[in-house]
Amino acid sequence: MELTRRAFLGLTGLIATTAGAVEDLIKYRLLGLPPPAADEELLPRAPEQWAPSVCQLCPAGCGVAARVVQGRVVKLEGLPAHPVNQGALCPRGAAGLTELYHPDRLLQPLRRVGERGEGRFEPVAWEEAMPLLVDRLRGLRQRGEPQRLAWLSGPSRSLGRQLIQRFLRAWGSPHDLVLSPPAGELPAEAFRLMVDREGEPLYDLAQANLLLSFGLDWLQAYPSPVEASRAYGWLRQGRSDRRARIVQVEPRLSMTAAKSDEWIPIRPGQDGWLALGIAHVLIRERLIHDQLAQNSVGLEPFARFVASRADPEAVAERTGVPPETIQRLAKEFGLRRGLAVGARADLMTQWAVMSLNGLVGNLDARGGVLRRWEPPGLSLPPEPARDDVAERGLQAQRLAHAERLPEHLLDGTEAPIEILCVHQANPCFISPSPSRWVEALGRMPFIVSFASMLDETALHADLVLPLATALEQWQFASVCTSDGRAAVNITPPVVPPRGAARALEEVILQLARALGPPVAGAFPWDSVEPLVKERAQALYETKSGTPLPPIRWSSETMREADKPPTSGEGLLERLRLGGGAVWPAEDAPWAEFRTPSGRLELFPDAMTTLLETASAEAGGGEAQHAPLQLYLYSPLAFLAGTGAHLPFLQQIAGRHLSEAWETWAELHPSTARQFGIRDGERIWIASLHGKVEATARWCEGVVPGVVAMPLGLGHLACGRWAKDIGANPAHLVGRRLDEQTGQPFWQGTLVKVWKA
Amino acid sequence: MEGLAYSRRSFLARALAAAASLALFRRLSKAEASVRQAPGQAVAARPHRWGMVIDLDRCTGCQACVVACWAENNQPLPSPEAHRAGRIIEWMTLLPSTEGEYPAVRQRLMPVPCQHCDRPPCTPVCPVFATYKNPEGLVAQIYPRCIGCRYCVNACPYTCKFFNWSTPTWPAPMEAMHNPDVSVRPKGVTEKCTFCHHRLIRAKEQAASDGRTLREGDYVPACMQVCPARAIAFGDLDEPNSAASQLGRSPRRSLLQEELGTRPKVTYLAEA
Amino acid sequence: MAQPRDLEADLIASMTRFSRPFFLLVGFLLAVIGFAAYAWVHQLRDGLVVTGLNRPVFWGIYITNFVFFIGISHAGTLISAILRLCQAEWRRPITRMAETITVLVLFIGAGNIIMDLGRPDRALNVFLHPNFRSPLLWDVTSITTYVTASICYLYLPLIPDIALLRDRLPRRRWFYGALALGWRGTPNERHRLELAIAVLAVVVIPIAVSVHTVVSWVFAMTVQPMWHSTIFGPYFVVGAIYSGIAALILAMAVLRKTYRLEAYLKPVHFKNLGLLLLVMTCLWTYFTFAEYLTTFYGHEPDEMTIFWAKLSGPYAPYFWTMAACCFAIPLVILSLPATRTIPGMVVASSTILVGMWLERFIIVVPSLINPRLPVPTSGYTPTWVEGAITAGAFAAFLLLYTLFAKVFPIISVWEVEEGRQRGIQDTVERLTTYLPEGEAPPAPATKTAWEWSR
Repeated sequence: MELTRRAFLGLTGLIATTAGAVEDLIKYRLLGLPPPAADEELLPRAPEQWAPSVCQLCPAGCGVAARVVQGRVVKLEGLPAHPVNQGALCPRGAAGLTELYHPDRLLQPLRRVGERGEGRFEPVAWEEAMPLLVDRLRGLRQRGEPQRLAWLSGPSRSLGRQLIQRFLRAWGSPHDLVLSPPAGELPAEAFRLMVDREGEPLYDLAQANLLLSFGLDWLQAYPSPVEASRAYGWLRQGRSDRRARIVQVEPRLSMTAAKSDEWIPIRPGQDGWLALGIAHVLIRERLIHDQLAQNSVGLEPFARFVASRADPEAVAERTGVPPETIQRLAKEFGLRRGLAVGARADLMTQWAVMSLNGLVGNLDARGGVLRRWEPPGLSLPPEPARDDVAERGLQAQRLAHAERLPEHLLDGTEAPIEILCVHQANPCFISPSPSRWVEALGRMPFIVSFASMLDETALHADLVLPLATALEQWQFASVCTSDGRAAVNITPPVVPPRGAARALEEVILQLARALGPPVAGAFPWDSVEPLVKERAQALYETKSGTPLPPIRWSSETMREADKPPTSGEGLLERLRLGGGAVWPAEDAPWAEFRTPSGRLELFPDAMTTLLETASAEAGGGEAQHAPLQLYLYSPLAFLAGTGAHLPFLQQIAGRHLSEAWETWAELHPSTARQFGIRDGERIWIASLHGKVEATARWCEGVVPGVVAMPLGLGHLACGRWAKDIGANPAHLVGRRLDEQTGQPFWQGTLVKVWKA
Repeated sequence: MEGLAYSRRSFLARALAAAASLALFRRLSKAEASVRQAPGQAVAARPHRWGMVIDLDRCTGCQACVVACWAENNQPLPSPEAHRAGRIIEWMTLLPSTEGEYPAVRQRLMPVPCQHCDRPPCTPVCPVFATYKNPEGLVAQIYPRCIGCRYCVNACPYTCKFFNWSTPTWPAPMEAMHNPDVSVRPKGVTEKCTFCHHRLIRAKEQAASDGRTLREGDYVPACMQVCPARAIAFGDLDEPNSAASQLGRSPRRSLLQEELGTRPKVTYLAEA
Repeated sequence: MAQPRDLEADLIASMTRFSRPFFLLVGFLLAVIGFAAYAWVHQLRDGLVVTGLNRPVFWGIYITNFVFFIGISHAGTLISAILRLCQAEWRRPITRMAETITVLVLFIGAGNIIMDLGRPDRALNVFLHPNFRSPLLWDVTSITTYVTASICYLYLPLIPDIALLRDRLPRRRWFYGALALGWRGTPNERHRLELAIAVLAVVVIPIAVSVHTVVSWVFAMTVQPMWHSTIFGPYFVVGAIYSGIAALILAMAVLRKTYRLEAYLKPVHFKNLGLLLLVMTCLWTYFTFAEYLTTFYGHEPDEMTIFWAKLSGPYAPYFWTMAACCFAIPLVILSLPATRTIPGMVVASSTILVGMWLERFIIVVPSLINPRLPVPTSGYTPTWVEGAITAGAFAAFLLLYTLFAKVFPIISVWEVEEGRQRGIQDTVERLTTYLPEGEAPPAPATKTAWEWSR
């Protein structure tokens, strides 16, 4: 065969081309490899906008800046000028976009078709869904029983909460029920008894000299976590004068304990007694504030009480903290005028911790306890007069505590509530023995859930209404920083709601309109926007507050920012550019003590009766069978029991043990060995109330004899990343509540463990 | 010679023409490139040397940096399967460590991004130049060139490089949140922290259009920006007055595995 | 004196005999390879997620196989070249077998690297954007060189045999005719061939040494604990020759049995290789001991973590199996004349191969799973895909070797023949040159020498 040069070249070319084509066929068609161009493809640079909004993943109210490209929000960053977060975000805030774009979000109203709790729903249009609720409500009113409507909410400071309260008042039901989460709130009840009957405390962390925390994992749970972290950084390396001392009292080496100068391990649920022991030493060693006797009432009985009941030895026996440590802590605390911080636990603990601040004169003081306040002009206008039905309804006996609702429903005498609206609360997941709620909701004639995800409680609802998330709605709420500044967040929606989701505020306004007078009379706004405009006008008339600077500077916004606004609308424009306005701490109308005596109440009457019963505490009996104590904590990722539906937060929750996507139980190695449990083994944890399975982890940072578990996992719903991941230790906790505060006793449940 | 279509002369002529047009093309494309870079080059007098300082005394271990990095850089979503298999991609990660015994326990969470070594052990081992140190000291990765041999990953003493074991997927509509400035990596390539290099490009563009040089704070990676405790400082280490330089001279300073001679550009400040 | 066996006829007979077991074997191997191909397609589609690899165990069985197979490749070329250069007459029947192992196994080894790549479709980037600072590129360079040299080194001595087959097997003439390159066996041709072989034999030795040195440098050039070792180069080369000889002995034993080559592969061949293997056992043990003792004595924490992981931790079973397979068992079997038999050596070679694979494995994995920083780890459990591809690699080698033996004479006919004709005379002449000057040796009597050599 003759092969000419040309034929050879041609043949080579042909072979090469064919080989290339075959290669392409195999690679891209058969094997599905991405074509090379796709690897290098960068989306073309599109114009971007920055819009301010507010993070809603916890009630702190951090300002966020949303980067919007072609109608998509592609990044959330902290709003640099916002007084709460000052440009930073916590991991929850940074994960905010996964909430907005969660693939399992509710995008349609749902009507129950199966049995209650079965989880079978059919999608319906809003036009169908609203009448279902409205007709039910009309029925109640026609029967003259508006008090049979209850609204269950979570902790929130949003406009929605204000509208709910307004709606219930206009409608005539006293049952505005708020469920507080197991962690992350401040001791409001004790503060109200001792300092300000309507107030809420703030901790001025950044200025503290000695920060003594009783079980408050403030780095993770203090509202807001961003402020807490910033304060920590400031306490450590920012302050030029002196480095604050940070002490953490907790049964577990929490993140705060790990970053503290000293960790004082304590038995679960005994924080209050340690505080009283410190108070004992403070008084004995005369380390209390000079003018305390003049400024307070109840010092005498208080001193008598701690002298008799809380000497360091007795306290040491109760708490497991050595008496020398108590002595030392007390001296440090008195000499450095410490700040004692605690969580919203039972009233005894709240009071004991708060009294330490009173003793050293650190209430209403820089570096001490401050009060939350609201700038003028923001609250909604007074409602018009109510009708008789509403008046009568409001006279009805109010349910004392939201957490008591299941017991009321299961008493069996009569169903006090007929329609239950639930918003931002998920008691079928995060409450002691949530199965009691499930049982109780089974007795409820009609449940409406307002939710952005189908959570456990929504599973038991008759009607589920899809809510918009933070970036899809107007934001209008006031917030306070820990150093006492106040701010208002006013931002328009960044993107339209996904699907048929609607903002809660809009739904309430629509509901009120649909119900007609007299309820509608209390809501003269067609939508949220005119409401905000009206408030901006009122704000303008107060002539107070400084608008936040525009989120992104341009020549236009700079010119705008230079001129003071000349009208309410002008002010609103400015507020929309920057995300809100801020007021300095000096503007706070801090009044004198708003207590019956007008002075600091060190030993409020409520305590007298409480302490008589407190002495006879339970113990003994079950301890033999359940030798360990349970300590439940909320990692920042699952603050308030929420967050497991976001994959980013699942991944970071158990970083200290490299655990994720699973519930773990921390045991001290000595305890674990006692029960023959190896690190990483599956174990059962059981109490009188239930049992859960978890991965045992040996951990030096737990008091021996304690099982520490994270709350927030073990969902039965809430989307693909939460459902059937981990176990829910809330099932282990009994339903004993603190009578005064309605707070469950989350800590110290007696449990036993064994290998699974 | 008659058998051939080309005469020697015509062949030479064509070759010459081809060479000339090639040269012209290269000249033009070079010229275009220089036009594109002109404003930036005119003002950027000297190359920067970007570095980071992480103050462990400030850090609270909150992991906002981890999440912000995920969100900024289009990293694959974590999943239980990936976690169990040890295949989570997190350019910024926190390494836990526990020391001591109860009750004198110390627990630490140390943020570890790519150390952007001045003498990176990972770049020379790449057989195809898919990872290299750029003139501003950033250790970069060319995803479209990487062959996925994972040699650089194994050569890194900080375990800071990550591999795409599978094609990353996002359930609809989560692609919407992708950062348009950052490419989504295909399966089978290595990736790593870039110090948010795309932000540097942006910052340079902005500075160039404003007709000025880069200022401190123009270029800030996402982890630093989000950090609530202000534990991260970032800047030009060759600029003696930058915050990063100043903090980097602290007596609390240390480098990760300094003894390996990799000269990391991430400095740690010890807990006081 | 027995009639000398006709090697040519024996070999051609076995090459043209296609028995039932042969087809069963080929069918079985093809099935295994087919399954491996399925696994590979699976891996290509989904990515390396289908393996047990993870962070920080980024390398696993594929790299282990790569190092192992490249090691085996030292069986052939290196041994045959050294023996050739030393003019060891007993080499004649085994060089071809050894060289064939080399060439085939190099492809299998390189193939395992391709399996390991995240983007095999971009493998050619190593030629488009080569970074010569990367030990992996050194690998690419030295392995391609070695493959080329080994193929030449296999092919050149094949030419006279191919020419023989061309003349004896008319039905395969089209094939052998092309490959024989018109060989006629003239003295001139023979001379040139021998010259070429001699040159190649010299050239191939440093290349072979470089190959495994460079393979070891892939690990040793990093700063990772228990990889970053100066003796890795020679250590790997010794290990490679060690496993190579073991593989060669196994191949010889199998071929001797199946091709009935008892007349050519005599116990003396096994005995000589067995002694070589014993030497390598000692050498390998020495290197291993040196490596571990240095680590232990230096007591650098990062290295000690890995050290204990191997000696008493999760990798202890592998380590001690390796120690038994590569040290205790072969040392005993090969030292005692009673066990230094062909079956004994087959046992020893088998354990050595197992042990050497494990050695590669515990070099690769424990260092990765204990990184310097306390990165959370989740172990390494290879998946069925890795298992299937590994099995496929072994099957591919066996299949290729089987087919090769059917197509080409697995013993060099002309070299054995040459040995018969010239070997004795050459040996005597060579011996004469060794002897001290003085009394003239008795004139070599071909016949007596022939008998003496037996």
